[in-house]
Amino acid sequence: MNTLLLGISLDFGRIHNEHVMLAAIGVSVVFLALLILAIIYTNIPKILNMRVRNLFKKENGRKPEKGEITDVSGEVNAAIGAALHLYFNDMHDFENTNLTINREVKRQSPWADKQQVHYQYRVNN
Amino acid sequence: MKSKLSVDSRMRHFLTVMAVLAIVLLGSAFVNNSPTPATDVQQTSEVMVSNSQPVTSASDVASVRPVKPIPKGFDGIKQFWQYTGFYNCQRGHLIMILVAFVFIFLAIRFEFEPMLLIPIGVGIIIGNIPFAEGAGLQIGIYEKGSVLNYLYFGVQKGVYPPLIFLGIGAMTDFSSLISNPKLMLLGAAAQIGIFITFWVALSLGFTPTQSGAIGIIGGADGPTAIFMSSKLAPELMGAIAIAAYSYMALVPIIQPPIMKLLTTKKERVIRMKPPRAVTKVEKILFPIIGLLLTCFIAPSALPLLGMLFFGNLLKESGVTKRLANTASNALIDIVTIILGMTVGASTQATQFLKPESIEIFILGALSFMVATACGVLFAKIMNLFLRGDNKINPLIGNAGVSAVPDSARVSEVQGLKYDPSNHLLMHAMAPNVAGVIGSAVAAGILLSFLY
Repeated sequence: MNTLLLGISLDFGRIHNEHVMLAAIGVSVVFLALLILAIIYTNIPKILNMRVRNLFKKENGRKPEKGEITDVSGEVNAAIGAALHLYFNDMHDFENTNLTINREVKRQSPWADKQQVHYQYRVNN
Repeated sequence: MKSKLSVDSRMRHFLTVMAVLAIVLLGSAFVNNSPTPATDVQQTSEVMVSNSQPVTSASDVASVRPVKPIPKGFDGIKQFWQYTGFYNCQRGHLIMILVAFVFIFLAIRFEFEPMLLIPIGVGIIIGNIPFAEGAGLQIGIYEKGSVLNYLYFGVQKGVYPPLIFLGIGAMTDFSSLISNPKLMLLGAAAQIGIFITFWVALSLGFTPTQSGAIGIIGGADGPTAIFMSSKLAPELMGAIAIAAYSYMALVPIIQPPIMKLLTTKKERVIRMKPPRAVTKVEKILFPIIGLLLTCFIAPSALPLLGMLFFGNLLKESGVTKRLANTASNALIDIVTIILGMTVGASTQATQFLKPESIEIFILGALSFMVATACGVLFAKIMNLFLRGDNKINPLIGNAGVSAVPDSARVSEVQGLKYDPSNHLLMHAMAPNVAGVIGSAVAAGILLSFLY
Protein backbone atom coordinates (compact mmCIF):
# COMPACT_ATOMS: atom_id res chain seq x y z
CA MET A 1 0.00 0.00 0.00
CA ASN A 2 1.40 3.42 -1.00
CA THR A 3 0.38 6.51 0.89
CA LEU A 4 0.12 9.58 -1.25
CA LEU A 5 -0.75 13.21 -0.41
CA LEU A 6 -3.48 14.09 2.15
CA GLY A 7 -3.41 10.60 3.61
CA ILE A 8 -4.83 9.09 0.42
CA SER A 9 -3.53 5.55 0.07
CA LEU A 10 -3.31 3.37 -3.00
CA ASP A 11 -3.61 -0.40 -2.79
CA PHE A 12 -3.29 -2.04 -6.18
CA GLY A 13 -4.11 -5.37 -4.56
CA ARG A 14 -7.74 -4.31 -4.75
CA ILE A 15 -7.65 -4.65 -8.55
CA HIS A 16 -8.71 -8.22 -9.24
CA ASN A 17 -8.62 -10.24 -12.41
CA GLU A 18 -12.23 -9.48 -13.23
CA HIS A 19 -11.50 -5.74 -13.08
CA VAL A 20 -8.56 -6.13 -15.46
CA MET A 21 -10.80 -8.20 -17.72
CA LEU A 22 -13.55 -5.57 -17.61
CA ALA A 23 -11.15 -2.82 -18.65
CA ALA A 24 -9.62 -4.94 -21.41
CA ILE A 25 -13.04 -5.87 -22.80
CA GLY A 26 -14.25 -2.29 -22.43
CA VAL A 27 -11.34 -0.78 -24.37
CA SER A 28 -11.55 -3.48 -27.04
CA VAL A 29 -15.29 -3.03 -27.54
CA VAL A 30 -15.00 0.78 -27.80
CA PHE A 31 -12.24 0.35 -30.40
CA LEU A 32 -14.18 -2.36 -32.21
CA ALA A 33 -17.39 -0.29 -32.38
CA LEU A 34 -15.63 2.76 -33.77
CA LEU A 35 -13.39 0.67 -36.04
CA ILE A 36 -16.41 -1.02 -37.63
CA LEU A 37 -18.07 2.37 -38.06
CA ALA A 38 -14.86 3.70 -39.65
CA ILE A 39 -14.63 0.73 -42.03
CA ILE A 40 -18.28 1.10 -43.03
CA TYR A 41 -17.82 4.80 -43.63
CA THR A 42 -14.64 4.32 -45.62
CA ASN A 43 -16.56 2.08 -48.00
CA ILE A 44 -19.91 3.85 -48.17
CA PRO A 45 -18.78 6.49 -50.70
CA LYS A 46 -17.59 3.67 -52.97
CA ILE A 47 -21.00 2.00 -52.79
CA LEU A 48 -22.84 5.29 -53.31
CA ASN A 49 -20.68 6.19 -56.30
CA MET A 50 -20.97 2.81 -58.01
CA ARG A 51 -23.66 4.10 -60.42
CA VAL A 52 -21.61 7.17 -61.28
CA ARG A 53 -18.56 4.98 -61.84
CA ASN A 54 -20.49 2.76 -64.25
CA LEU A 55 -21.77 5.82 -66.13
CA PHE A 56 -18.23 7.19 -66.33
CA LYS A 57 -16.97 3.86 -67.63
CA LYS A 58 -19.70 3.77 -70.31
CA GLU A 59 -19.04 7.32 -71.47
CA ASN A 60 -15.25 7.33 -71.34
CA GLY A 61 -14.50 3.69 -71.97
CA ARG A 62 -12.17 3.52 -68.97
CA LYS A 63 -12.36 3.21 -65.22
CA PRO A 64 -12.17 6.48 -63.31
CA GLU A 65 -8.89 7.08 -61.57
CA LYS A 66 -8.67 7.42 -57.82
CA GLY A 67 -10.23 10.68 -56.70
CA GLU A 68 -11.56 11.52 -60.17
CA ILE A 69 -15.21 11.23 -59.17
CA THR A 70 -15.23 11.29 -55.40
CA ASP A 71 -12.97 12.98 -52.88
CA VAL A 72 -13.81 16.49 -53.92
CA SER A 73 -12.36 18.52 -51.09
CA GLY A 74 -14.43 21.06 -49.21
CA GLU A 75 -12.09 23.76 -50.49
CA VAL A 76 -12.82 22.87 -54.11
CA ASN A 77 -16.55 22.86 -53.36
CA ALA A 78 -16.27 26.24 -51.68
CA ALA A 79 -14.37 27.64 -54.66
CA ILE A 80 -17.03 26.32 -57.10
CA GLY A 81 -19.79 27.75 -54.90
CA ALA A 82 -18.08 31.15 -54.71
CA ALA A 83 -17.54 31.24 -58.47
CA LEU A 84 -21.19 30.41 -59.16
CA HIS A 85 -22.31 33.02 -56.67
CA LEU A 86 -20.15 35.70 -58.29
CA TYR A 87 -21.29 34.67 -61.77
CA PHE A 88 -24.99 34.89 -60.92
CA ASN A 89 -24.45 38.11 -58.99
CA ASP A 90 -22.88 39.75 -62.02
CA MET A 91 -25.54 38.54 -64.43
CA HIS A 92 -27.43 41.84 -64.33
CA ASP A 93 -24.36 43.58 -65.82
CA PHE A 94 -24.89 41.67 -69.02
CA GLU A 95 -28.54 42.52 -69.62
CA ASN A 96 -29.76 43.39 -73.13
CA THR A 97 -29.20 47.10 -73.73
CA ASN A 98 -31.60 47.51 -76.74
CA LEU A 99 -34.44 49.85 -75.79
CA THR A 100 -37.80 49.40 -77.52
CA ILE A 101 -40.96 51.48 -77.32
CA ASN A 102 -44.09 49.42 -77.30
CA ARG A 103 -47.30 51.13 -78.26
CA GLU A 104 -49.69 50.73 -75.38
CA VAL A 105 -53.24 49.81 -76.23
CA LYS A 106 -55.76 51.22 -73.81
CA ARG A 107 -58.91 49.34 -73.21
CA GLN A 108 -62.12 51.28 -73.61
CA SER A 109 -63.99 51.54 -70.35
CA PRO A 110 -66.94 53.76 -69.51
CA TRP A 111 -65.42 54.32 -66.07
CA ALA A 112 -62.11 55.62 -67.31
CA ASP A 113 -63.13 57.40 -70.48
CA LYS A 114 -62.78 61.17 -70.11
CA GLN A 115 -64.76 62.05 -73.23
CA GLN A 116 -67.65 59.88 -72.18
CA VAL A 117 -67.74 61.55 -68.75
CA HIS A 118 -67.75 65.05 -70.36
CA TYR A 119 -70.50 64.05 -72.76
CA GLN A 120 -72.66 62.67 -69.95
CA TYR A 121 -72.11 65.88 -67.98
CA ARG A 122 -73.27 68.03 -70.93
CA VAL A 123 -76.34 65.90 -71.58
CA ASN A 124 -77.43 65.94 -67.96
CA ASN A 125 -77.06 69.71 -67.61
CA MET B 1 -27.06 69.34 -5.76
CA LYS B 2 -26.38 69.52 -2.05
CA SER B 3 -29.45 67.46 -1.23
CA LYS B 4 -28.45 64.89 -3.83
CA LEU B 5 -25.02 64.61 -2.24
CA SER B 6 -26.53 64.24 1.20
CA VAL B 7 -28.85 61.50 -0.08
CA ASP B 8 -25.81 59.74 -1.56
CA SER B 9 -23.86 60.02 1.68
CA ARG B 10 -26.87 58.83 3.71
CA MET B 11 -27.21 55.85 1.35
CA ARG B 12 -23.50 55.13 1.80
CA HIS B 13 -23.89 55.26 5.59
CA PHE B 14 -26.87 52.94 5.41
CA LEU B 15 -24.99 50.48 3.22
CA THR B 16 -21.96 50.63 5.54
CA VAL B 17 -24.13 49.86 8.55
CA MET B 18 -25.79 47.00 6.71
CA ALA B 19 -22.42 45.61 5.62
CA VAL B 20 -21.06 45.79 9.17
CA LEU B 21 -24.20 44.06 10.41
CA ALA B 22 -23.80 41.34 7.82
CA ILE B 23 -20.15 40.83 8.78
CA VAL B 24 -21.05 40.68 12.47
CA LEU B 25 -23.78 38.16 11.80
CA LEU B 26 -21.44 36.09 9.63
CA GLY B 27 -18.81 36.26 12.33
CA SER B 28 -21.31 35.13 14.92
CA ALA B 29 -22.18 32.24 12.71
CA PHE B 30 -18.52 31.29 12.66
CA VAL B 31 -18.04 31.73 16.40
CA ASN B 32 -21.23 29.92 17.38
CA ASN B 33 -20.69 27.35 14.69
CA SER B 34 -22.72 24.66 16.33
CA PRO B 35 -22.29 21.35 14.51
CA THR B 36 -26.01 20.65 14.41
CA PRO B 37 -27.89 23.92 14.56
CA ALA B 38 -30.81 22.25 12.88
CA THR B 39 -31.58 20.22 15.97
CA ASP B 40 -32.52 23.34 17.97
CA VAL B 41 -34.97 24.38 15.32
CA GLN B 42 -36.25 20.88 15.08
CA GLN B 43 -36.89 20.90 18.81
CA THR B 44 -38.60 24.27 18.51
CA SER B 45 -40.80 23.07 15.71
CA GLU B 46 -41.64 19.95 17.66
CA VAL B 47 -42.70 22.10 20.60
CA MET B 48 -44.82 24.26 18.40
CA VAL B 49 -46.77 21.41 16.90
CA SER B 50 -50.19 21.25 18.49
CA ASN B 51 -51.18 18.36 20.75
CA SER B 52 -47.45 17.96 21.36
CA GLN B 53 -47.04 15.39 18.60
CA PRO B 54 -43.42 15.53 17.45
CA VAL B 55 -42.97 15.60 13.70
CA THR B 56 -39.58 14.45 12.62
CA SER B 57 -39.45 13.81 8.90
CA ALA B 58 -40.19 16.20 6.07
CA SER B 59 -42.82 13.97 4.56
CA ASP B 60 -44.63 13.78 7.90
CA VAL B 61 -44.74 17.55 8.10
CA ALA B 62 -46.16 17.71 4.58
CA SER B 63 -48.94 15.27 5.33
CA VAL B 64 -49.92 16.40 8.86
CA ARG B 65 -49.66 20.19 8.41
CA PRO B 66 -50.47 20.99 12.05
CA VAL B 67 -51.93 24.32 13.08
CA LYS B 68 -49.16 25.93 15.06
CA PRO B 69 -49.61 28.83 17.42
CA ILE B 70 -47.74 31.98 16.47
CA PRO B 71 -44.94 32.50 18.98
CA LYS B 72 -45.25 35.68 20.92
CA GLY B 73 -42.73 38.40 21.69
CA PHE B 74 -39.14 37.38 22.12
CA ASP B 75 -39.90 33.73 21.28
CA GLY B 76 -40.98 34.81 17.82
CA ILE B 77 -37.76 36.75 17.27
CA LYS B 78 -35.77 33.80 18.60
CA GLN B 79 -37.56 31.42 16.26
CA PHE B 80 -37.03 33.75 13.31
CA TRP B 81 -33.35 33.95 14.19
CA GLN B 82 -33.09 30.16 14.35
CA TYR B 83 -34.54 29.93 10.86
CA THR B 84 -32.11 32.43 9.34
CA GLY B 85 -29.11 31.44 7.27
CA PHE B 86 -26.79 33.23 9.71
CA TYR B 87 -27.81 30.94 12.57
CA ASN B 88 -27.56 27.74 10.52
CA CYS B 89 -24.38 28.69 8.69
CA GLN B 90 -21.49 26.29 8.93
CA ARG B 91 -17.97 26.66 7.64
CA GLY B 92 -18.75 24.27 4.79
CA HIS B 93 -21.50 26.49 3.46
CA LEU B 94 -19.14 29.44 3.22
CA ILE B 95 -16.45 27.33 1.55
CA MET B 96 -18.93 26.14 -1.06
CA ILE B 97 -20.20 29.69 -1.65
CA LEU B 98 -16.58 30.74 -2.24
CA VAL B 99 -16.22 27.86 -4.71
CA ALA B 100 -19.35 29.16 -6.47
CA PHE B 101 -17.77 32.61 -6.73
CA VAL B 102 -14.69 31.04 -8.35
CA PHE B 103 -16.92 29.24 -10.89
CA ILE B 104 -18.82 32.42 -11.72
CA PHE B 105 -15.58 34.40 -11.94
CA LEU B 106 -14.01 31.84 -14.31
CA ALA B 107 -17.12 31.87 -16.48
CA ILE B 108 -17.41 35.66 -16.74
CA ARG B 109 -13.75 36.70 -16.70
CA PHE B 110 -12.24 33.93 -18.84
CA GLU B 111 -15.39 32.61 -20.54
CA PHE B 112 -14.63 29.01 -19.49
CA GLU B 113 -17.82 27.13 -20.42
CA PRO B 114 -20.05 29.98 -19.18
CA MET B 115 -23.22 28.11 -20.20
CA LEU B 116 -22.34 25.49 -17.59
CA LEU B 117 -20.36 27.31 -14.96
CA ILE B 118 -22.87 30.12 -14.41
CA PRO B 119 -25.84 27.78 -13.74
CA ILE B 120 -23.63 25.47 -11.66
CA GLY B 121 -22.11 28.40 -9.75
CA VAL B 122 -25.50 29.90 -8.95
CA GLY B 123 -26.77 26.40 -8.15
CA ILE B 124 -23.96 25.97 -5.62
CA ILE B 125 -24.97 29.23 -3.94
CA ILE B 126 -28.63 28.16 -3.91
CA GLY B 127 -27.73 24.75 -2.52
CA ASN B 128 -25.55 26.23 0.18
CA ILE B 129 -27.81 28.90 1.59
CA PRO B 130 -27.98 27.59 5.16
CA PHE B 131 -31.42 26.81 6.51
CA ALA B 132 -32.94 24.76 9.29
CA GLU B 133 -32.58 21.35 7.71
CA GLY B 134 -34.46 19.44 10.36
CA ALA B 135 -37.45 21.79 10.48
CA GLY B 136 -39.21 20.18 7.55
CA LEU B 137 -39.42 23.38 5.54
CA GLN B 138 -39.14 21.41 2.29
CA ILE B 139 -36.72 23.79 0.65
CA GLY B 140 -33.45 21.82 0.39
CA ILE B 141 -32.62 19.78 -2.67
CA TYR B 142 -32.40 16.60 -0.58
CA GLU B 143 -35.71 17.23 1.21
CA LYS B 144 -38.52 15.14 -0.20
CA GLY B 145 -41.29 17.29 -1.63
CA SER B 146 -39.26 20.44 -2.19
CA VAL B 147 -39.30 22.15 -5.57
CA LEU B 148 -35.57 21.68 -5.94
CA ASN B 149 -35.99 18.01 -5.13
CA TYR B 150 -38.55 17.67 -7.93
CA LEU B 151 -36.11 19.30 -10.37
CA TYR B 152 -33.31 17.08 -9.03
CA PHE B 153 -35.43 14.04 -9.88
CA GLY B 154 -34.37 14.46 -13.52
CA VAL B 155 -30.74 14.20 -12.49
CA GLN B 156 -31.27 11.32 -10.08
CA LYS B 157 -33.19 9.23 -12.57
CA GLY B 158 -31.04 10.15 -15.55
CA VAL B 159 -33.79 12.03 -17.42
CA TYR B 160 -31.79 15.11 -18.41
CA PRO B 161 -28.67 13.49 -19.98
CA PRO B 162 -30.55 11.85 -22.88
CA LEU B 163 -32.34 15.15 -23.58
CA ILE B 164 -28.98 16.93 -23.66
CA PHE B 165 -27.72 14.27 -26.04
CA LEU B 166 -30.74 14.91 -28.29
CA GLY B 167 -29.72 18.56 -28.49
CA ILE B 168 -26.05 17.69 -29.04
CA GLY B 169 -27.06 15.37 -31.88
CA ALA B 170 -29.17 18.11 -33.47
CA MET B 171 -26.27 20.55 -33.23
CA THR B 172 -23.42 18.30 -34.33
CA ASP B 173 -22.15 18.16 -37.86
CA PHE B 174 -20.57 14.74 -38.36
CA SER B 175 -19.27 15.57 -41.84
CA SER B 176 -15.64 15.95 -40.74
CA LEU B 177 -15.86 12.49 -39.19
CA ILE B 178 -17.54 11.00 -42.26
CA SER B 179 -14.95 12.50 -44.58
CA ASN B 180 -12.03 11.03 -42.61
CA PRO B 181 -13.35 7.95 -40.75
CA LYS B 182 -9.94 6.80 -39.49
CA LEU B 183 -9.98 9.71 -37.02
CA MET B 184 -12.71 7.85 -35.13
CA LEU B 185 -9.96 5.74 -33.60
CA LEU B 186 -8.62 8.79 -31.76
CA GLY B 187 -12.02 9.09 -30.09
CA ALA B 188 -11.69 5.45 -29.03
CA ALA B 189 -8.12 5.89 -27.75
CA ALA B 190 -9.08 8.71 -25.43
CA GLN B 191 -11.53 6.39 -23.66
CA ILE B 192 -8.61 4.38 -22.25
CA GLY B 193 -8.47 7.08 -19.55
CA ILE B 194 -11.86 5.90 -18.28
CA PHE B 195 -10.64 2.38 -17.62
CA ILE B 196 -7.28 3.41 -16.12
CA THR B 197 -9.12 5.70 -13.71
CA PHE B 198 -11.46 2.82 -12.93
CA TRP B 199 -8.42 0.84 -11.74
CA VAL B 200 -6.99 3.74 -9.73
CA ALA B 201 -10.36 4.37 -8.06
CA LEU B 202 -10.54 0.69 -7.13
CA SER B 203 -7.08 0.84 -5.59
CA LEU B 204 -8.17 3.87 -3.55
CA GLY B 205 -10.85 1.76 -1.95
CA PHE B 206 -13.94 2.74 -3.93
CA THR B 207 -16.35 -0.06 -4.75
CA PRO B 208 -16.41 -1.32 -8.37
CA THR B 209 -19.69 0.49 -9.11
CA GLN B 210 -18.39 3.76 -7.64
CA SER B 211 -15.12 3.32 -9.57
CA GLY B 212 -17.02 2.87 -12.82
CA ALA B 213 -18.97 6.07 -12.22
CA ILE B 214 -15.80 7.99 -11.31
CA GLY B 215 -13.85 6.66 -14.30
CA ILE B 216 -16.35 8.08 -16.77
CA ILE B 217 -15.23 11.61 -15.81
CA GLY B 218 -12.28 10.90 -18.15
CA GLY B 219 -14.72 10.81 -21.03
CA ALA B 220 -15.18 14.55 -20.40
CA ASP B 221 -18.84 14.10 -21.00
CA GLY B 222 -20.98 15.73 -18.32
CA PRO B 223 -24.32 14.15 -19.29
CA THR B 224 -22.75 10.67 -19.53
CA ALA B 225 -21.06 11.13 -16.14
CA ILE B 226 -24.40 12.11 -14.57
CA PHE B 227 -26.20 9.26 -16.30
CA MET B 228 -23.61 6.75 -15.06
CA SER B 229 -23.53 8.03 -11.49
CA SER B 230 -27.34 8.02 -11.33
CA LYS B 231 -27.21 4.32 -12.12
CA LEU B 232 -24.01 3.18 -10.40
CA ALA B 233 -23.25 5.56 -7.53
CA PRO B 234 -26.09 8.00 -6.75
CA GLU B 235 -24.38 8.86 -3.45
CA LEU B 236 -21.42 10.36 -5.35
CA MET B 237 -23.41 12.11 -8.03
CA GLY B 238 -22.81 15.66 -6.84
CA ALA B 239 -19.05 15.27 -6.67
CA ILE B 240 -18.85 13.39 -9.98
CA ALA B 241 -21.02 15.88 -11.84
CA ILE B 242 -19.16 18.88 -10.47
CA ALA B 243 -15.78 17.27 -11.23
CA ALA B 244 -16.83 16.36 -14.78
CA TYR B 245 -18.18 19.82 -15.59
CA SER B 246 -15.29 21.60 -13.89
CA TYR B 247 -12.70 19.71 -15.90
CA MET B 248 -14.71 20.25 -19.08
CA ALA B 249 -14.50 23.96 -18.38
CA LEU B 250 -10.80 23.70 -17.63
CA VAL B 251 -9.95 21.95 -20.92
CA PRO B 252 -7.99 25.00 -22.18
CA ILE B 253 -5.79 24.83 -19.08
CA ILE B 254 -5.35 21.08 -18.57
CA GLN B 255 -4.75 19.89 -22.12
CA PRO B 256 -2.11 22.20 -23.71
CA PRO B 257 0.82 21.24 -21.42
CA ILE B 258 0.18 17.53 -22.02
CA MET B 259 -0.08 18.10 -25.78
CA LYS B 260 3.18 20.04 -25.78
CA LEU B 261 4.94 17.47 -23.64
CA LEU B 262 4.06 14.54 -25.89
CA THR B 263 4.71 16.07 -29.32
CA THR B 264 7.77 17.30 -31.21
CA LYS B 265 7.97 20.64 -33.04
CA LYS B 266 7.96 18.81 -36.38
CA GLU B 267 4.78 16.91 -35.49
CA ARG B 268 2.96 20.05 -34.40
CA VAL B 269 3.21 21.60 -37.88
CA ILE B 270 1.95 18.60 -39.84
CA ARG B 271 -0.59 19.77 -42.41
CA MET B 272 -3.51 17.49 -42.89
CA LYS B 273 -5.37 16.87 -46.14
CA PRO B 274 -8.48 19.08 -46.33
CA PRO B 275 -11.64 17.04 -45.66
CA ARG B 276 -13.60 15.99 -48.73
CA ALA B 277 -17.13 17.17 -49.35
CA VAL B 278 -19.72 14.84 -47.84
CA THR B 279 -22.97 14.09 -49.65
CA LYS B 280 -26.39 14.47 -48.04
CA VAL B 281 -27.05 10.73 -48.36
CA GLU B 282 -23.92 9.95 -46.35
CA LYS B 283 -24.97 12.40 -43.67
CA ILE B 284 -28.43 10.84 -43.44
CA LEU B 285 -27.06 7.31 -43.36
CA PHE B 286 -24.55 8.08 -40.59
CA PRO B 287 -26.98 8.39 -37.65
CA ILE B 288 -28.96 5.36 -38.82
CA ILE B 289 -25.91 3.11 -39.20
CA GLY B 290 -24.30 4.54 -36.06
CA LEU B 291 -27.42 3.94 -33.99
CA LEU B 292 -27.88 0.37 -35.19
CA LEU B 293 -24.23 -0.58 -34.82
CA THR B 294 -23.37 1.02 -31.48
CA CYS B 295 -26.63 0.10 -29.77
CA PHE B 296 -26.42 -3.50 -30.93
CA ILE B 297 -22.92 -3.63 -29.40
CA ALA B 298 -23.76 -1.79 -26.17
CA PRO B 299 -27.54 -1.62 -25.64
CA SER B 300 -27.00 -0.15 -22.15
CA ALA B 301 -26.00 3.11 -23.82
CA LEU B 302 -29.29 3.22 -25.74
CA PRO B 303 -30.80 6.24 -23.91
CA LEU B 304 -27.71 8.31 -24.74
CA LEU B 305 -26.77 7.04 -28.19
CA GLY B 306 -30.39 6.67 -29.29
CA MET B 307 -31.10 10.30 -28.53
CA LEU B 308 -27.77 11.49 -29.99
CA PHE B 309 -28.37 9.84 -33.35
CA PHE B 310 -32.07 10.74 -33.30
CA GLY B 311 -31.16 14.40 -32.87
CA ASN B 312 -28.65 14.15 -35.68
CA LEU B 313 -31.20 12.57 -38.03
CA LEU B 314 -33.61 15.41 -37.26
CA LYS B 315 -30.91 17.81 -38.43
CA GLU B 316 -29.63 15.94 -41.44
CA SER B 317 -32.93 14.72 -42.85
CA GLY B 318 -33.72 18.32 -43.77
CA VAL B 319 -37.47 17.75 -43.44
CA THR B 320 -37.76 18.25 -39.67
CA LYS B 321 -36.14 21.64 -39.37
CA ARG B 322 -38.56 22.83 -36.68
CA LEU B 323 -37.89 19.79 -34.49
CA ALA B 324 -34.14 20.07 -35.03
CA ASN B 325 -34.30 23.76 -34.16
CA THR B 326 -36.21 23.09 -30.95
CA ALA B 327 -33.86 20.26 -29.92
CA SER B 328 -30.73 22.28 -30.63
CA ASN B 329 -31.92 25.57 -29.15
CA ALA B 330 -34.87 25.77 -26.78
CA LEU B 331 -34.85 22.22 -25.44
CA ILE B 332 -31.13 21.92 -24.78
CA ASP B 333 -31.07 25.41 -23.25
CA ILE B 334 -33.91 24.61 -20.85
CA VAL B 335 -32.38 21.28 -19.83
CA THR B 336 -28.91 22.82 -19.46
CA ILE B 337 -30.27 25.52 -17.16
CA ILE B 338 -32.14 23.03 -14.96
CA LEU B 339 -29.33 20.46 -15.02
CA GLY B 340 -26.59 22.96 -14.23
CA MET B 341 -28.57 24.57 -11.45
CA THR B 342 -29.64 21.31 -9.78
CA VAL B 343 -26.18 19.76 -10.09
CA GLY B 344 -24.78 22.88 -8.44
CA ALA B 345 -27.45 22.82 -5.74
CA SER B 346 -26.69 19.17 -5.04
CA THR B 347 -23.38 20.24 -3.52
CA GLN B 348 -25.06 21.12 -0.22
CA ALA B 349 -22.09 21.38 2.14
CA THR B 350 -23.55 19.00 4.72
CA GLN B 351 -23.79 16.27 2.06
CA PHE B 352 -20.95 17.22 -0.26
CA LEU B 353 -17.89 18.12 1.80
CA LYS B 354 -16.47 14.67 2.44
CA PRO B 355 -12.97 13.23 1.89
CA GLU B 356 -14.35 11.14 -1.01
CA SER B 357 -15.24 14.33 -2.88
CA ILE B 358 -11.59 15.43 -2.81
CA GLU B 359 -10.50 11.98 -4.00
CA ILE B 360 -13.04 12.15 -6.83
CA PHE B 361 -11.68 15.54 -7.88
CA ILE B 362 -8.12 14.18 -7.94
CA LEU B 363 -9.24 11.09 -9.87
CA GLY B 364 -11.18 13.26 -12.30
CA ALA B 365 -8.08 15.32 -13.08
CA LEU B 366 -6.04 12.14 -13.52
CA SER B 367 -8.69 10.64 -15.76
CA PHE B 368 -8.78 13.74 -17.92
CA MET B 369 -5.01 13.91 -18.27
CA VAL B 370 -4.67 10.22 -19.11
CA ALA B 371 -7.45 10.51 -21.72
CA THR B 372 -5.72 13.48 -23.35
CA ALA B 373 -2.34 11.73 -23.33
CA CYS B 374 -3.84 8.54 -24.81
CA GLY B 375 -5.42 10.49 -27.67
CA VAL B 376 -2.21 12.33 -28.53
CA LEU B 377 -0.05 9.19 -28.26
CA PHE B 378 -2.46 7.17 -30.40
CA ALA B 379 -2.26 9.81 -33.13
CA LYS B 380 1.53 9.38 -33.08
CA ILE B 381 1.15 5.60 -33.29
CA MET B 382 -1.23 5.96 -36.25
CA ASN B 383 1.33 8.17 -37.98
CA LEU B 384 3.77 5.24 -38.00
CA PHE B 385 1.46 3.51 -40.47
CA LEU B 386 0.37 6.52 -42.52
CA ARG B 387 2.24 8.10 -45.40
CA GLY B 388 2.35 11.52 -47.09
CA ASP B 389 -0.57 13.85 -46.66
CA ASN B 390 -2.54 11.14 -44.84
CA LYS B 391 -0.50 11.80 -41.71
CA ILE B 392 -2.31 13.11 -38.66
CA ASN B 393 -1.27 16.13 -36.65
CA PRO B 394 -1.04 14.71 -33.09
CA LEU B 395 -2.36 18.00 -31.73
CA ILE B 396 -5.85 16.78 -32.65
CA GLY B 397 -5.45 13.70 -30.44
CA ASN B 398 -6.55 15.64 -27.36
CA ALA B 399 -9.95 16.15 -29.01
CA GLY B 400 -10.69 12.45 -28.47
CA VAL B 401 -12.19 13.44 -25.12
CA SER B 402 -15.76 14.41 -25.78
CA ALA B 403 -15.75 17.99 -24.51
CA VAL B 404 -17.42 19.32 -27.66
CA PRO B 405 -16.24 21.69 -29.08
CA ASP B 406 -13.82 22.97 -26.47
CA SER B 407 -11.12 20.36 -26.93
CA ALA B 408 -11.29 20.81 -30.72
CA ARG B 409 -10.86 24.54 -30.13
CA VAL B 410 -7.77 23.80 -28.02
CA SER B 411 -6.30 21.82 -30.96
CA GLU B 412 -6.96 24.78 -33.28
CA VAL B 413 -5.38 27.31 -30.92
CA GLN B 414 -2.33 25.12 -30.27
CA GLY B 415 -1.92 24.39 -33.98
CA LEU B 416 -2.03 28.09 -34.86
CA LYS B 417 0.66 28.78 -32.26
CA TYR B 418 3.19 26.73 -34.21
CA ASP B 419 1.92 27.48 -37.72
CA PRO B 420 -0.43 30.48 -38.05
CA SER B 421 -1.87 29.17 -41.32
CA ASN B 422 -2.50 25.60 -40.20
CA HIS B 423 -6.15 25.34 -39.16
CA LEU B 424 -6.92 22.12 -37.28
CA LEU B 425 -10.46 22.84 -36.09
CA MET B 426 -12.31 20.86 -38.77
CA HIS B 427 -9.94 17.91 -38.39
CA ALA B 428 -10.20 18.00 -34.60
CA MET B 429 -13.99 17.94 -34.72
CA ALA B 430 -13.81 14.36 -36.06
CA PRO B 431 -12.20 12.75 -32.96
CA ASN B 432 -14.23 15.13 -30.83
CA VAL B 433 -17.60 13.81 -31.98
CA ALA B 434 -16.19 10.27 -32.11
CA GLY B 435 -15.32 10.80 -28.45
CA VAL B 436 -18.98 11.48 -27.68
CA ILE B 437 -19.93 8.16 -29.26
CA GLY B 438 -16.94 6.39 -27.66
CA SER B 439 -17.66 7.60 -24.14
CA ALA B 440 -21.33 6.59 -24.46
CA VAL B 441 -20.28 3.12 -25.64
CA ALA B 442 -17.77 2.88 -22.75
CA ALA B 443 -20.55 3.89 -20.35
CA GLY B 444 -22.77 1.19 -21.81
CA ILE B 445 -20.08 -1.44 -21.30
CA LEU B 446 -19.46 -0.38 -17.70
CA LEU B 447 -23.20 -0.43 -17.03
CA SER B 448 -23.62 -3.90 -18.48
CA PHE B 449 -20.80 -5.21 -16.25
CA LEU B 450 -21.48 -3.33 -13.04
CA TYR B 451 -25.20 -2.49 -12.84
